[in-house]
Amino acid sequence: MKVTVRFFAQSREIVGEKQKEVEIEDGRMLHDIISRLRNEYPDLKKEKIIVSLNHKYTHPEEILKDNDEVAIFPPVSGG
Amino acid sequence: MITKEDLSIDELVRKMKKPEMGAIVTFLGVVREDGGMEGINVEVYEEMAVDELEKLEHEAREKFEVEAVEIVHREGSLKVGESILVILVGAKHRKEAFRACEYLIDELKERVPIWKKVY
Repeated sequence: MKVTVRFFAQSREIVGEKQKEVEIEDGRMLHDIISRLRNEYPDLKKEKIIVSLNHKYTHPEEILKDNDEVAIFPPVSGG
Repeated sequence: MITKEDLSIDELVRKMKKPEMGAIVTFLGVVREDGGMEGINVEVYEEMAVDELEKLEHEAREKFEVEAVEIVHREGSLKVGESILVILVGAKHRKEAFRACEYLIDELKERVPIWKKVY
């Protein structure tokens, strides 16, 4: 199955892309995709990152579904 | 709401004002000069930010005795002195409006996916 991963702020700068499609096996959890991206982009390991799934904060054990939207970003700093 | 346009407090007040309101508390966040910077870039994860802002407005109505809440945050390039966001809270009495407004700005800074970068 395929999920979309979006990157914002420093995470976007590290990855060099705003978003990418990632192929992942059925039944994988949110933290699996994070580990994979951290291995692919080691600089992501140096930063504190926050993860959302389908526009919501969630826990890392959430099971991914086809066409989910994951987002990776640093702690927010709006306001 | 997220916007690239400048903020008009007067317009928002006109939109939200109701006869039962005795107070409208406004918080205006402004780009502050710091160490010779020119301004900031504001990046927004729009779909999620809009959802989180709606949740915050809903929470404020549940937790406090307020009649209406409006939050507008800007995105894009903003120079020193420009407005970043405005929060308006209308209530029967000022104390609840002040409390709700402080709750909203504190929570927004923790939760709403928006990032500022100095240039």
